[in-house]
Amino acid sequence: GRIRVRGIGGGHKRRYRMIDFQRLRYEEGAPPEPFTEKVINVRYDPCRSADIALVAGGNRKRWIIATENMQPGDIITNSSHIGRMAVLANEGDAYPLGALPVGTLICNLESHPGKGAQYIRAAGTCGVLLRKVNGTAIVQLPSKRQMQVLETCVATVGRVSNVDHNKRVIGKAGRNRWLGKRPHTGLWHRKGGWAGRKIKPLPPMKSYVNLPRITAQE
Amino acid sequence: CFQGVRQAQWLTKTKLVEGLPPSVLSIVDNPAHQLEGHEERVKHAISHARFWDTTEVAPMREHYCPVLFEDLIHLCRSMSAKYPSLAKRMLARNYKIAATWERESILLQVRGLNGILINSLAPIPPVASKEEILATEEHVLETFYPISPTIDLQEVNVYKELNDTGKSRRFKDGYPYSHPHTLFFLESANVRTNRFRPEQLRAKMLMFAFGNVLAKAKVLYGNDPKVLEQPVVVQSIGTDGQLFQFMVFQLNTTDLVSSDGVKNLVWIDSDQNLYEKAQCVPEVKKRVVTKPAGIYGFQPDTFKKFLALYLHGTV
Repeated sequence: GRIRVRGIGGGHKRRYRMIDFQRLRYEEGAPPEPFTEKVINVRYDPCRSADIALVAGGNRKRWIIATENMQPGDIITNSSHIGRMAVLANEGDAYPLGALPVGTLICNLESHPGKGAQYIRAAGTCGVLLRKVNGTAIVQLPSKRQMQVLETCVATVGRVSNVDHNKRVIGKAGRNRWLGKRPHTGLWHRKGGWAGRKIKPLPPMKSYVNLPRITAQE
Repeated sequence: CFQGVRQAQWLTKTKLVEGLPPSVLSIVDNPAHQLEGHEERVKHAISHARFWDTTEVAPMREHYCPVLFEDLIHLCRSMSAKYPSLAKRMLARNYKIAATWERESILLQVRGLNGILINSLAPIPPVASKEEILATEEHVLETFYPISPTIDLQEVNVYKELNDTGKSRRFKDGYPYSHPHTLFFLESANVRTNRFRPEQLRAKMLMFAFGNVLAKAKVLYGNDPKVLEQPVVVQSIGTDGQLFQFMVFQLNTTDLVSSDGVKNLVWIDSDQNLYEKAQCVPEVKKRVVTKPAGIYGFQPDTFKKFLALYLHGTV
């Protein structure tokens, strides 16, 4: 085996909590309708920068990524219904993008419906719903890149928890080693073309929707 | 999971009352029912269980918990010199209980090894008056929307609905000591994660007491769900060697399908410490003994309540 990414290794032992990224997972025997769950506990997760929340609904409990102001005892809704009017969503609820008003802050976005959240999961991040076009929605990711997804993809509303994560001070080299980061090389590199601040135009919008070519002209 | 006793209350259609019922409290306060020098004897019992019973420095919890229990029962039984009807009791161990009931179209069962049970000749008289029983009709059972009350229960395919007081296999019919009197639960696992926390222990006590009472009621009154004119009462005590939980359960109705109507009653006295700390080895700081070996924070009230629950029903 060869090392692909240098600087990873060691670190404190971590127990993995199985997080459910698919918010709309229905229980066995439950009808596919909007349902509510109650937040029981919000705690630290060693495997990620965000905090996780234990929620329970019906007969099951699961861990999900907590949003910014989630407290134990809150009630959150998960729905897959897209109505004609946009829903005034509370923080922490999960709705399909077609049901949310333009301009809401969202997180835990999926690229294809039912795939599970893969985008906007880090601490304090949020995406913005820019506009809704035919059956798709355009979201701006935290890196300012725009992506186009089907409007039935489900995302949660609000910013991800642990907002002050980027303001923390590591303090010593040992703490980096506990996090599993090995030291960089000490070889001095003269600055070449690769060093320095880059100012580039935004890459084009990434589309996860397979549209037939005709709709662009009409 | 989060609130064990509240979930158990919904499942057994029970109303909770804090503290022990007045009939038991009157036995506690009555000085005629005390042993002479019982504080000394209880301290001896604790020391025996916690210090003297082993060749190692400190015995493990699975060792001292049953020893303490045996000693306390022995102390209670020595009162039978005064009250001869106390001798008409029988202790059973490794007792299996099975009870089935329906609760709002969900079938529930309690199965398991109970542990230790004391049976008596005569049943305990009902503790709550008729007015209190009727007053429970207005009490609304709390729901935990959106969490369903059967969360964290194991789903099992059952082919026989068993209702068994655990006696029909071993003992013949016509066994004289047929009324369950008190159940005992000893949490003696060594590792803390294997032991039940106090609220989980209380929930376990409630469910097992309910199972016992329901099986007894079905034997006495038949399988149809109805309100009982003579409520059945059973007591239960749970401990982990130091903290005691006392509980008195009264079954008023076997009609558990609906959530309205008369509810059952339970009196719980929780987290009674028998002693704060039992120091096996004297604590030494800088070669000076700060805490000599012994028992600290002994509370005689806990043993008085233990004794009162034991004497309840015959006094």
